[in-house]
Amino acid sequence: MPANKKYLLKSGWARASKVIAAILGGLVVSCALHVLFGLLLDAEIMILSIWFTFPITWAFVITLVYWIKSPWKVWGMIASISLMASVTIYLIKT
Amino acid sequence: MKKEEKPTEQRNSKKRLYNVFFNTHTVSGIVISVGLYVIFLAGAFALFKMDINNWEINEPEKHFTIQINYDRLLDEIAKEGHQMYGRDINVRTYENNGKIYVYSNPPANKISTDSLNTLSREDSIQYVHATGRVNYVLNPETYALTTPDGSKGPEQRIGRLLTRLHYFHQIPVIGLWLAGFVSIIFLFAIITGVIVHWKKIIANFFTFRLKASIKNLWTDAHTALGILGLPFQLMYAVTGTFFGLSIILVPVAMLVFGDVNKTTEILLPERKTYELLGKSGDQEPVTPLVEEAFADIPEEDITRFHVMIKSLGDENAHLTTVAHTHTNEDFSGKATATYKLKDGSLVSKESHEDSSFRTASIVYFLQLHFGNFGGYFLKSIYFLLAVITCFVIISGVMVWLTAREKKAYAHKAKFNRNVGAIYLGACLGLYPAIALLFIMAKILPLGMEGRFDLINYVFFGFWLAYTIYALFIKNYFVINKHALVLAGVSGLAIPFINGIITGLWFWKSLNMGYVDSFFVDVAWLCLSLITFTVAFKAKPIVKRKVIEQDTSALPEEIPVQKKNKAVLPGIKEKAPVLGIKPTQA
Repeated sequence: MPANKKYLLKSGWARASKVIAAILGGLVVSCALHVLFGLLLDAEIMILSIWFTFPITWAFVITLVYWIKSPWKVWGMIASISLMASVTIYLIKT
Repeated sequence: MKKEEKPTEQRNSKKRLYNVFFNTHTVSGIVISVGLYVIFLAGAFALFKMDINNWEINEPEKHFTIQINYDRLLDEIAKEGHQMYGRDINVRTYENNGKIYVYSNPPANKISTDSLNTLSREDSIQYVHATGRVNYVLNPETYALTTPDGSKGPEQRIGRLLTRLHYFHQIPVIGLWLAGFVSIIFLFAIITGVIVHWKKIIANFFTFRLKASIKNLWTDAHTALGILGLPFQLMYAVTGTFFGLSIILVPVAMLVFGDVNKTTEILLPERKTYELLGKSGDQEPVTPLVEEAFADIPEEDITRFHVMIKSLGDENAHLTTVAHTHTNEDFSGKATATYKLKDGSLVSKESHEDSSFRTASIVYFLQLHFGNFGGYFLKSIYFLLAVITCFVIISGVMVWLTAREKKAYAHKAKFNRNVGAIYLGACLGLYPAIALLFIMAKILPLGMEGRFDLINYVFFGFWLAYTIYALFIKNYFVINKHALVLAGVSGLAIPFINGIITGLWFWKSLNMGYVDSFFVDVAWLCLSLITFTVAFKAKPIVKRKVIEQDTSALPEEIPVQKKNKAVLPGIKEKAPVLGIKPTQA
């Protein structure tokens, strides 16, 4: 009883982009959130708990990528979080 | 109008989510299945790595002594012709074989190729020896230093081989990262699995239909055992990801601290290194300081210790001691102390009873992953849960394969059958390969030339051969049965071969103090008996199912499919959750 194809993405490109968004996007977003937490709040606590927060955040992002229907929205989310994080890190560092 | 539209939209999006997560659960599960199976089965054996290693070389269980004269030891190392200034000397035990290892990596700034070029051949050999790696086993009574077997690098043992297989160390460069990726996808598969089964999670847990169709059998096994092992699997998915991909600490640390070493300082403060100031200075004797550090822990509670003398001989020399304890009161059980050797003053001290987040977090992580906190009983439960997880993986693959035996997939039948045969051959062939590994470890004498290469070739060769054999016979039932019978026969032979070759029969070894030898033998005896039971009991159930399905499944399944197409989406929702047949409703 495989899943009903009606509800799945049809285009191969869209599917591939979702896989990339899930794995790499999840990795980048998770890293970015940890760096933000470390810079803005408590770096020591972040490093001490990273062994469980990192995998869970990553898996959460992967789940979110598949939860959101449109690949465009997914990439929008990943890009905006990464951009926001980059700007914040840049501002703090300079 | 609007009021009516909203519910259908919601229902549609719910259905989309269900189908999307069902699909991602299937695809991600199939993609990682073989890798995850290898990780869990090899890991189940790797839990007993130390016992297996001791079993292989016939070491009795022996408690080490913590009464070591470190100052005398340092003199002995210097006598072996090693340059001592600036070194970080490590003195440590691993587990229960009583051995005390002494090692030191070459100080990073010491070896320069320029000076080597100007030296004569003999001088340069001496120079490399003096500044190179120190690697000895210490005899705590005579202070004689002997080189551990396999003078280049650590000892080759089958426990170590299984541990390395557990994180794909045999695959060059990317092996560990691959294991990390398998773990993160496993974590995702756990989440999607829970989402897909959420509505029926309680009902499914209590459902095990042995007499329904064969697919229901696999489905019920997959869901019930998946829920049963959920916390265990979740813990391993999380810790495994971090083990495999701890490399992500590098960019994170670079951005947060601008320095990678800072993370080590936070996570493993005892690994902190001390800069050489370039001035050699007098230092306090080390031995009394170590005694002071270990004073408040009873010696029999210490399961392993690690004494580090850092930047030896320098003004900035430090002593760090770590003791791991094993009592019922403390879960983390790690005591550390650091002294400045210049004046013997205490820099920092953490008791083994201290379980604040700062000291205990990373220890908890290691304890959970290695199952080191509850002795043989806990490790046996870990082993059982790991084998259950292997079964969840296999039953997941079987659900996938059985679902594709329908007519709708007839055009891909051959492909599916081959994929199934390779998957099952690679997974199930590992168990007899491990049993064979244990036999070879006993048959091949320890001092033999090229012993471990041969072990490697036979182990991986047999595994590959079994996969090819599986692809050749293609009958899932036979693949399973032959693997189990092979593993059962070899497993049963292990304790007897051990007895014949070493004389350590399992009814004698425990009294003689060979706890590991006894444990491994008896474990294989039990395992092989269970394996035989499964191999011969599984036959009637599965065979009956096959016959039943052949006669009844086709006329029953096709109308259901057709009905689904015709019926409105709203009513369909009742029907198709994995394994629950519409006929029940």
